[in-house]
Amino acid sequence: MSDFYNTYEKENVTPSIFRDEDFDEMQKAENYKIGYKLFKILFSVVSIVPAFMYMLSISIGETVSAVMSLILFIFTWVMYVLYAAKASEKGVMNPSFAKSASAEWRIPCCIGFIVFCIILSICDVLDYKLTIAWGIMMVANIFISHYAKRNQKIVMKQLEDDEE
Amino acid sequence: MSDNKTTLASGTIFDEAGYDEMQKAENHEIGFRLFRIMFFVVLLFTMVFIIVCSNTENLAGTIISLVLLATLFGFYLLYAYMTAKRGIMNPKFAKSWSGTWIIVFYGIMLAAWSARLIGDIQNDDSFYDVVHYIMWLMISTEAVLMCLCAKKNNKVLKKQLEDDGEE
Repeated sequence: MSDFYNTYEKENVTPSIFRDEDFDEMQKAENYKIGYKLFKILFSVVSIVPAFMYMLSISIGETVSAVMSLILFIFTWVMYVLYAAKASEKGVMNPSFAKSASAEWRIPCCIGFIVFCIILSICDVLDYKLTIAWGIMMVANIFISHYAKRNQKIVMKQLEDDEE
Repeated sequence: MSDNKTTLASGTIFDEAGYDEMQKAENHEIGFRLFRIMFFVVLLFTMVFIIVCSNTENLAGTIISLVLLATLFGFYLLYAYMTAKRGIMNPKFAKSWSGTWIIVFYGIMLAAWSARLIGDIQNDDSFYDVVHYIMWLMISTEAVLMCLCAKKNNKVLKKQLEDDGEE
């Protein structure tokens, strides 16, 4: 059944534009480069829109679109963290970024900021909806800091292996 | 000068100054795979967003999600154009999308949706009633442009094959 499905899929179904199974290494490299460049721009664009939408929706009291834009907002941050995770797994995170993101003070600062926002929203100084948005960003930053540390460890291990 | 820049700038996570070719290749592969996922998820989300916002008569939300949809199609076409320019568009995809019937079919769709849109605007229909026509107009335009990109890819491939044959 599985073989039949695979054969059917390969021969009869129009593949997506993103499929690169039949490409040689050179073509794959060029394709990846294009995808990477577009990912950088797409990420920047898509991360701004839901943040803007969320602010707009809570100010006009649109609950449905506020929830939806919050989901999209979380998704963009998940993609950012996923990129950091994948890059750190291979030790290819930008060295200067990894250095600054792996600083010891970053995680306590992020946790402190979340606590500060929660206290402000309990005291009715800050809208709890904004606290949610800030909380998401800070949690993502904690993950990024963690992955930056992992990247540094991997790079160090690679250097040690090279020396040996 | 370039080294100074690398040392001084903290750089974003996407900055790849100072990478060797191997690191760049790995980084590009990660970016490409995330681009695919991000594109499909955000596209699906935007379409749902347009429907929800137009049903709840949220003007700002509808306009922003329409702009986001247009941006996403822009990225899709940009990817298609950039791959077509180098002749590295997926061969099966390029073959199926380069048919002239696609331009004719979606051209007719484009004309039909435009006529319907203009008609509804003249009848003083509300913006929320014509949102779906705008969405279909975008999809039809995207299909026509995609067909042109696929044709370009096939031309580039043909030229590459001819050049290889001459050599």
